[in-house]
Amino acid sequence: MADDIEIINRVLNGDVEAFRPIVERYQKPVISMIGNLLGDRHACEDVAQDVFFSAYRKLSSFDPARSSFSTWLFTIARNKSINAMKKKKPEPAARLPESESTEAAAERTELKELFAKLDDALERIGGKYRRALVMAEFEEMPYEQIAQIEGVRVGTVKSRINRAKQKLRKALSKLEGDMK
Amino acid sequence: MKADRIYETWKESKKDIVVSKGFCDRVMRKVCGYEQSKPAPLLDIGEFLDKMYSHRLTRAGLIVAAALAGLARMAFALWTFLAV
Repeated sequence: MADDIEIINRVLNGDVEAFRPIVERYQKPVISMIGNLLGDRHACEDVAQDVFFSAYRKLSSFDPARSSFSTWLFTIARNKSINAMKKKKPEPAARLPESESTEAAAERTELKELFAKLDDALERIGGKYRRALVMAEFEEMPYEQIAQIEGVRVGTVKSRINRAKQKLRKALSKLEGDMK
Repeated sequence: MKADRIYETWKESKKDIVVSKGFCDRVMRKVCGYEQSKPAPLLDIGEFLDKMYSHRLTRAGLIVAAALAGLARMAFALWTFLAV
């Protein structure tokens, strides 16, 4: 966005507060991407904070001729997520609220269990396949942008997404079999 | 529940992100804290040049020095060329 470039120039000229609209604009997509990559909604805001802080410190190294600001920012988010994954601790299982009716609670439990199994299957998929799937399916990024972030060709992104989907399809068909 | 529906519902649940209140403020506090902790430069070039240009005599002196440096460079280039 040309707007981003204008804001960046103001920040680089010393207007620190000018960085705020950048954070407001990108906080949700960055937190969403990190949360889905890590599978941990609690830790993602800490990592996201780190992403924006790093982006601020390295702002002078951003080159608009090489990529858009969003691609550059998501690349930082991707790298920070990879580092955070290495230090990740298992997330405790969420509890259901007790005030729900028995039927609604049972349905939610079933859905929660299904989602937990899919989350497990996603976690078992290798890092680069999982990242490609998360960015394409959950964050709805175009393939060209994912290719720039991952530093690979578009064809490679597509094949990684297909591979990830195949693995998930296997997990889903096993789930279907378990439910019958 | 069919597999496709499970997958789509699961996918939709991944977009359900709530950013905590004050996230932006926390980031900006960190950024401002970083700026305040940066050491002041020993010599502020901009401020130095402003002071130099504000006095007529120093301005004139700078212009004369620049002109002499230019002439000296031309003379050196000419001497190098003729020496060859």
